[in-house]
Amino acid sequence: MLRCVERMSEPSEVVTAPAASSAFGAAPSINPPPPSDEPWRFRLKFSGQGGEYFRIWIVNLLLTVLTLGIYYPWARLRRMRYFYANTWVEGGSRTAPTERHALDYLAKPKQMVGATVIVSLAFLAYSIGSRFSPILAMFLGLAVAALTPWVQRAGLRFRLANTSWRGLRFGFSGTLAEVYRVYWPIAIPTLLFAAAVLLSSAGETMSMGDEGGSMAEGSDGATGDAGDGDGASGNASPASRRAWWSSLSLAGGLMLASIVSGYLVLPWLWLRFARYRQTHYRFGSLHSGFVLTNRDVLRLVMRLIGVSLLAALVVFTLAGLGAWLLADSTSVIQAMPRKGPGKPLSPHWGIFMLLMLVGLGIAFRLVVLPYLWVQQQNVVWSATRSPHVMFRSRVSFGRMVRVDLVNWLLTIVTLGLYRPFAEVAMARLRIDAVSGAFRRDPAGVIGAERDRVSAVGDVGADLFDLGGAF
Amino acid sequence: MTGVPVAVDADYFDGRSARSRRVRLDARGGRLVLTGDGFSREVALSDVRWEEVSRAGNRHAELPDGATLQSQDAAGWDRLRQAAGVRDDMAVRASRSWRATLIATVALVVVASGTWIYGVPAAANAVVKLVPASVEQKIGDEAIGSMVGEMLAPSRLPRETRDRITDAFREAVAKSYPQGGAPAWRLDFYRSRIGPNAFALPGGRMVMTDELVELAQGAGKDGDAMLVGVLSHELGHVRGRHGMRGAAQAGFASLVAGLVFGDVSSLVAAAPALLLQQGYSRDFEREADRESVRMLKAAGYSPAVMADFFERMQRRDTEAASRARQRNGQEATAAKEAQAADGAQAKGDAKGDAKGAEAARRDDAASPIARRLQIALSSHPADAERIRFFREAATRP
Repeated sequence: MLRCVERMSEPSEVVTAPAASSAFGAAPSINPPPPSDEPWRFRLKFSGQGGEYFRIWIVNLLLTVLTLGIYYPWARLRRMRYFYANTWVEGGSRTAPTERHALDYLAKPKQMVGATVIVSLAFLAYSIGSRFSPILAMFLGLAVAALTPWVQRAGLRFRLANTSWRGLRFGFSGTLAEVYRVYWPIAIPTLLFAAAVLLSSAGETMSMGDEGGSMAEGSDGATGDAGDGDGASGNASPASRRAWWSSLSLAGGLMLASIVSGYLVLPWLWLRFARYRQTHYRFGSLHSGFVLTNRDVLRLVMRLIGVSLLAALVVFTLAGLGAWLLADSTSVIQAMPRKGPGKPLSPHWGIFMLLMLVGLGIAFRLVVLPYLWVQQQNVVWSATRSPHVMFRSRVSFGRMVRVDLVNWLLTIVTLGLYRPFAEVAMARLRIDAVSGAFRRDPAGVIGAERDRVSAVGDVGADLFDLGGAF
Repeated sequence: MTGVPVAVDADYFDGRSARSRRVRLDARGGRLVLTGDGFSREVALSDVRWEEVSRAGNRHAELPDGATLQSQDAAGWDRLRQAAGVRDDMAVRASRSWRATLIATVALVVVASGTWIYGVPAAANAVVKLVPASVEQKIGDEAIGSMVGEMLAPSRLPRETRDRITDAFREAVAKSYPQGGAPAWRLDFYRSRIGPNAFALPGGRMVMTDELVELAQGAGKDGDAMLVGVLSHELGHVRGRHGMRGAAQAGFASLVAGLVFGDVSSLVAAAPALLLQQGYSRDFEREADRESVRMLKAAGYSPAVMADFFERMQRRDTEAASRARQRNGQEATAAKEAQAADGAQAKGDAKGDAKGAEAARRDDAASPIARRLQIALSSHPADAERIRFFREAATRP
């Protein structure tokens, strides 16, 4: 490597300053013209093919299995490179001709190996440890939760720093302090929960104290066996009993508030993280921005609830219909021996509940979830804009449902062999839907300093499924 | 290596700006020659990092200083690559040919089934060997702690009964391991909400429920022999460290399934891991049954008592099920109980028993499909098979 760097400065490469500057002016027909100030519009295009990726995937998988996982980092690199090299940015402006350049993934295997080992060990420890002891599981869960922001940021940094376009690497400028600050709203349900636990245990000790007191007074034959709350407070004075009850009901209320606020905080957290992520992409001196508001997210949540209710209603109707039809045909066999006016509803109900359960699961996976994906990508990327660059995403819900359904069915039917085709189809659907514009021709962008980033976050985000889908 | 010039047009990026420069590439005398308008550069071919080529993907090469070359002329680029003597590695060449990938697919199926059947247990075994006994013990204590109060209450058996059973078992262990070397064990009795049951936890802690003792005592003088048989079975689990191995296997299995099926659907990824786990635990049960036979014989009991014991369990189940048939509407609570028992038990040995009864109760309300699923997912060898196993063992010397 050193040798090559030396060769760079050898006289064989004659890029003298005047020659270079004259090059741009003298031969516009050969080199693209100098960057213009016109907006530079672009769209993304995915050129990968299922059959081609299948062959990469199967070889990757075989080698990973044969080497007991050692090949995994290389396999991952090959996979990433394939998807990046097939993601094209086609663009131009009124004055600049259309150019077409693909992304490139530049991570090196060496970076990935250590990271993969660390993360795999952590994953194994987590999945073994959390099976046995609830306490250990809780601590491991807390550790994973505490590390999640770090992993997310590290993953983004690594991914962006190793993504290049037009010979320049991207970057991610979000700081560690910022990503932890993103998650502060979690404190609300957590504190409410802690307060509820404290209060209820305080109520318990209060009632214990009463019990002790009444026993000291020598109230007739109270045996020590009364561990029960009711038995204890039965001996207490009305005032302290009231206090005990009120503290307990307050604790219950706090617990409820903690759960409700937990759900309410979720979309807010989602927005906060999306904002953190979408405002810190860099390309040279350009940076991205994010204009999504709380109101937009509220609208998104409303739409999601609407779609869920609609899906539930359809499932409800179909399940009712199915139960009615099925129960009638099976009742001939089932209800024959004990046919009586006693409980004619029971087979209907059983089948109805079963159909409802299965139907809701399927509707969630095949309708609601794809709707969420589509909305997330479209809303997030269409709101990603800064003075330098803006994006627009228009994934069609109908096509998403179709692609997802086919992917899901064929992946099951083929025992997983369809998976590479599924990935390619999904990538095409998602990538081809994105377009945008740079404020001016990106040819004028000058690269920024590269910083060193660890690959642990990237692999971690992959295996623990924490990735902030780029 | 460099006969005919194979020039191709490309875009050159210097890695410092996003501006492209049109260049013509040629491979001559072991060097890659770039010529553009007022620009030229030469790099040793050995210093160029050629990216893997895909059909419609980017043609891309990296120069040592971070500059890159990209070409839209796919055919020309591939010719240049060839002239430059670029050789892709084996993996890349393999994925270029359908025949090689077909072979890879077949090989993968073979290897995957091998991994499934032998690899995962072996890996789990190796990992469990690394876990110190003290850690295992702590895990077992932890598990017991979480169950006491929830599902287990202090035993109400007379002290003498408990001591008698413990002594009988201790004697059986001593006779089965005349040279010593028996795994460390500790036996506790609890009254339970999960019916007649016994299980072993990591670290050698074994739990027997009052209900199981009562069920066996109904058999009269064979009762203690049955209990020794059951405890020997549990000691088989302890000896094989089945609890820890089961957990490690589940971890590996979900890792492997995740790699294969990935994010397409967590259900698709979870199902094979679950089925696999069931298969493994059946093997564990058989191993523990063999240990039970060995110890019973060593202690001078007939393994047939275990067969009698299973039959008693079955009778109890059918009675419980028919009783349940009369009172309806308890499926909900029953299902909850069964779930709690499932979840909290590290290596539970629901010997048919309460779970079966409750399953029967649930089946009553649900469909034949549910009944079939229950059988498919049962982690124990069918009762009939086990009864046969112990009866045959009794006839052999």
